[in-house]
Amino acid sequence: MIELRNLTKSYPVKDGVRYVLRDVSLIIPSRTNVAVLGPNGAGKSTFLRLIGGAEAADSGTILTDSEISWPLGLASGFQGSLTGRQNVLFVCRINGLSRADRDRVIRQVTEFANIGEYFDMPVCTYSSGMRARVTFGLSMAFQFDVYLIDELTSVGDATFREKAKAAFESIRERASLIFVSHNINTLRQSCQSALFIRDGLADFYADIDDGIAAYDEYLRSNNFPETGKRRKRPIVKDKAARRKARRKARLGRTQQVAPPETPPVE
Amino acid sequence: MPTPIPIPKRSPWVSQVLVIRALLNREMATRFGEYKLGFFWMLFEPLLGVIVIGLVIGTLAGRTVPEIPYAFFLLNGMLMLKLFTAPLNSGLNAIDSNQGLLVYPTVRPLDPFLARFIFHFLTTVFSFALFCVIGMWMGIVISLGQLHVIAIAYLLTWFAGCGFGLIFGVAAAHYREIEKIVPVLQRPLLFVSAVMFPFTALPESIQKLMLYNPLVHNIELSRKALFPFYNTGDANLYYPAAFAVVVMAAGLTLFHNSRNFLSQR
Repeated sequence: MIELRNLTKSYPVKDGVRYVLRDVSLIIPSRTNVAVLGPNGAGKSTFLRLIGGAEAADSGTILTDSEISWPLGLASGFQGSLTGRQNVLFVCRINGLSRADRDRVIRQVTEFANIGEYFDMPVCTYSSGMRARVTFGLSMAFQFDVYLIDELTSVGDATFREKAKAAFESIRERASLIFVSHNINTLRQSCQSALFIRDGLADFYADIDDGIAAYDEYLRSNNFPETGKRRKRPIVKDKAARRKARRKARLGRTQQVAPPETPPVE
Repeated sequence: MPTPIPIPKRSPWVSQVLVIRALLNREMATRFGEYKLGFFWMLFEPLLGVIVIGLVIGTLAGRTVPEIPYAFFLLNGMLMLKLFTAPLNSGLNAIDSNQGLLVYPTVRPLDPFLARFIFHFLTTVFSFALFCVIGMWMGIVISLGQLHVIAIAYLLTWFAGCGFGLIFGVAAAHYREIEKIVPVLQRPLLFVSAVMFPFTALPESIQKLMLYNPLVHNIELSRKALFPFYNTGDANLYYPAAFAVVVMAAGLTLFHNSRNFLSQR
């Protein structure tokens, strides 16, 4: 269980202060995977950083009896000039793991990430998919009650997504997720409940469908151009792909088929 | 999936030590890993400066202080200056180059600073000890009877450097320009800190001005301790001690006030 009590977090912006959370109190129960919803810039990542202890709130408290992971995202977690192996070792060292445990973590990460000789190359040479693989593999080697995932699975290829899905399945018994993603289908697939963040407010919905409905309602009433799943034509730059997407959209309209979750394998 | 490893619970002090150690490890990896013979360069970079300056000045001015080996005289000054400027400069981008690692809850924004400060202290002290041994082996007469004065002088220099490192590190996080200005500002330090010549060789009016520079006091006193014949003039340890404490207090206060800002970038 994670409880927020009168939590306030703000950022200085050019002309004043912007509130990510303003006096928010809510309870996230254990044993439920939570989808974090909200428009761009609403503060979903900041919310994860607060819960993960990477950042401090302005005021209020976060109470928990769970072991929470650090926020697993693409932008952080690594020092670019160190190799993947050195970064993994760093995390082992700050947690004071024994040599045997360290070796075990390294073995698990190498196995999961499967990026070959790149594991001994500087992380700044990695593609985002490779970063995601190492981050994900590393976090799965540790035992957490709650994993905070920030758009991590959206960059990987089909193999990685399959692996991630299998990993989520395997930890379902012992751990839950707090999942930030803009892909509503992914969220629907892995989460049962939802947390909707906007304009300094945050609401917890025990049923994810209620959360998504509230989010959609919000987008409609604010005339957001981005309406996630309802957009008929995805924005594609390249002409051939656009034609393809149009054909697919037409197909979708006539047959009412949901778009596939996994993109074609490169 | 194999069984995951639970993260051990640690007391704040233990986890602080673990984090600093891991960051030190990371500093070593990037600094020494980048070059072949990285460790060698770390130690011999000041020596290289000594050779260049020593050749020019030593031959131009002849032997400045008759009873003191000029090479060691210069080396001591260069190491002291380095002990001041290295932590200062390393503070400038301490946060930036460890940004990704701040996501781990036990790694706080002060830790990269501390790790770098300790790193520079260890390497400088190590090269000083090494050069002492080499110097003695070559037959240079160095007195180690006043080792505590040398230690205090080095520590005060380092402490002031760390304080400035914090001040400029925080300032650079707010204003990028600081990173460009600071290296330019410290260029005259080599001359106004009496690194290359004995302080007493200057006219008295200039001496008075130079005594406002705490580095002069530290360098002069360490020389006095190393070479008992050396004449130091008006140098004392109280001024640089007070200076170091004030600078460090200012640095820590600045840091404390913007610690949230530093962790959220």
